[in-house]
Amino acid sequence: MAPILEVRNLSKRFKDFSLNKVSFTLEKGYIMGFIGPNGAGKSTTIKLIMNLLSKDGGEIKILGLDNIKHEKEVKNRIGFVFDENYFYEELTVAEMKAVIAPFYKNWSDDAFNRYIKEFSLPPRSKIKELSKGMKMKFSIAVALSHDAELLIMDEPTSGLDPIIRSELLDILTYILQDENKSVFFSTHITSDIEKIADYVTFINNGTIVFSSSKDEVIDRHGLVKGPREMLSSELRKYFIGIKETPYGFEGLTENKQQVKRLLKDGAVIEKPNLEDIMLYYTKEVQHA
Amino acid sequence: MNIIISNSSQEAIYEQIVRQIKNMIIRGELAENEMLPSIRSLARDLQISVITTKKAYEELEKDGYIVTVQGKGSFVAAQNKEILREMRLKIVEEKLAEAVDAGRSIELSLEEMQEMLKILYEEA
Amino acid sequence: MLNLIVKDILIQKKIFLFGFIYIVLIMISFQQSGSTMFGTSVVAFTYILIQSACAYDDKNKSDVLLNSLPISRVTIVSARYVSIFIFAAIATAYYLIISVIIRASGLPIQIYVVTFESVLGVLFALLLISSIYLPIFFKVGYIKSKTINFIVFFIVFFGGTVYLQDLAKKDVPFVRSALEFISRQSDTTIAAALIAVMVLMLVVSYCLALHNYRKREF
Repeated sequence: MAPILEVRNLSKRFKDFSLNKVSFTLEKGYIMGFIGPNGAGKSTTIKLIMNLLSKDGGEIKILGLDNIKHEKEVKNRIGFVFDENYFYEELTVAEMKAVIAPFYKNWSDDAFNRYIKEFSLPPRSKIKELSKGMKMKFSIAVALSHDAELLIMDEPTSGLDPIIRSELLDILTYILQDENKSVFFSTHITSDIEKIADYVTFINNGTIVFSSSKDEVIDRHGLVKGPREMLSSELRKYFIGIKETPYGFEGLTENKQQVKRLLKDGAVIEKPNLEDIMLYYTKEVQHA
Repeated sequence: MNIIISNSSQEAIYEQIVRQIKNMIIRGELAENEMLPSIRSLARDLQISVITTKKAYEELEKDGYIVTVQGKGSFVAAQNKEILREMRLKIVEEKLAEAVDAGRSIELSLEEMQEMLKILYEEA
Repeated sequence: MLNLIVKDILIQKKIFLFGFIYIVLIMISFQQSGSTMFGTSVVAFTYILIQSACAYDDKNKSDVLLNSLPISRVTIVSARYVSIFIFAAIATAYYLIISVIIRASGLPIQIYVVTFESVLGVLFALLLISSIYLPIFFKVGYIKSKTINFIVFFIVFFGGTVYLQDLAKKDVPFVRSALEFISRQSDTTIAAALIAVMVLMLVVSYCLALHNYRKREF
């Protein structure tokens, strides 16, 4: 079964930033979270996938098809949600739908009406009258009303309060109950990814740091806390990053076994969360 | 069916699920041929990844506790009654051993322990 | 593709309504000018419609939306060009409706009757302007295109007029014989020639616009 999204050695050069051989794969039926600090290249990658930017090198396959050679067919089968609202502010919800619907082969008015009812979106409101959260829900209603197999979202929850973010996560989990659907979404709010993602891809400075199952990433790393005296130069080798305070040190390691061996009972090793992991990896790059 | 996941425990999440479902089957809380929730709905309700629930079910199937039928779902496997009874006996034995240790540490005699056992048995 | 044009109409609802008033005003102020009444009102109103459709698209950054939908860039560019004709037809319809109303009301307002030549003239003017405007719009977007277009139009029209006037003063024999040649042609030939030129402008402009839009990044 072909993966639903496959990016291989994707490259793009800008004046002061470049995407370097970005590669990752998403299989059907899963959610992948795409995390990274601001400016890491998340939006650029998504725009390249959507062919809004043209790539300098590499390959992008969606639903097994090349994203440029089969652009129209691919776009018929995917849904998109962007961080900013790109719909016409002057049009009403109903008018906007009337403009978009005919372009999709599998559009369902029934599905759309069900969603706007569930999301409480009045069809006669102008887009500009909708709050940020409602605009995002409108995007989702549109994205879900044409039987999209892959949902691509670029920071869909930026600027939204925790309640709406939670609602969005519920919607995504509900979508994923159908094992034929997949979701790819970028965010810098790692707690959202922790709640629902199956896979995590972490990008920093235009390069992929890791891409694997979320639980595996968390299990693989350990957050170590201990007394400063125990920080030998041999120990430091096993850390991705270390924070030192007057009261001790805290560090992230990918090698729990070795660290345990060296520290024995002297330190505490805890399960890190994605935010810890992201912070330590980005700090490490800064130091290097 | 009660499954409680601890995020802060050292035990991997899928192991927690495997352990709890195994115990429910052994204790008879999950009957033979009873259908388990789908890996996706379980993932949704526990707010964990479907990869984890899938891994848990795969392990349970490998150890013979459940059977997964393609397209239908996962079901508690017909447990070998003898083995189940033996496992249950083992649990009773372990608990009795604990009680014996506890009694010994305050120098309780065998007769006093038997008396306590009789009272507790009749109370239950 | 037609849906894109419907979209252009929907987002300018107000301008469409305002158009009636606009054309009436021009008709009234051009009372003495006779034939230019029709031409000016239709060309002006159509051009406003095209421009503001481009402006709204740019304001909403709708290129991102349109290029995320299953629409090819060819369709997007084609829709703009087709809309020239559709908007011109709508503007002409406005003019005709207003003419009918005015005539029926018996008000003492002069109305210039629409003829084939004037329609041709309108189309020629519109295509000339759009052929220059659209490729630039598709290359740099609405805001930047305004400045560039201003300069281009200035050079073409102002510079062109000055050059033509200069030419007329000099009385170059080539020009004189060319003019004589043209005036000797029948009306049908002139019309056919104009249509050929319009088609040529359209094709060149369209290819240029398509080339520019294909390379754009959002």
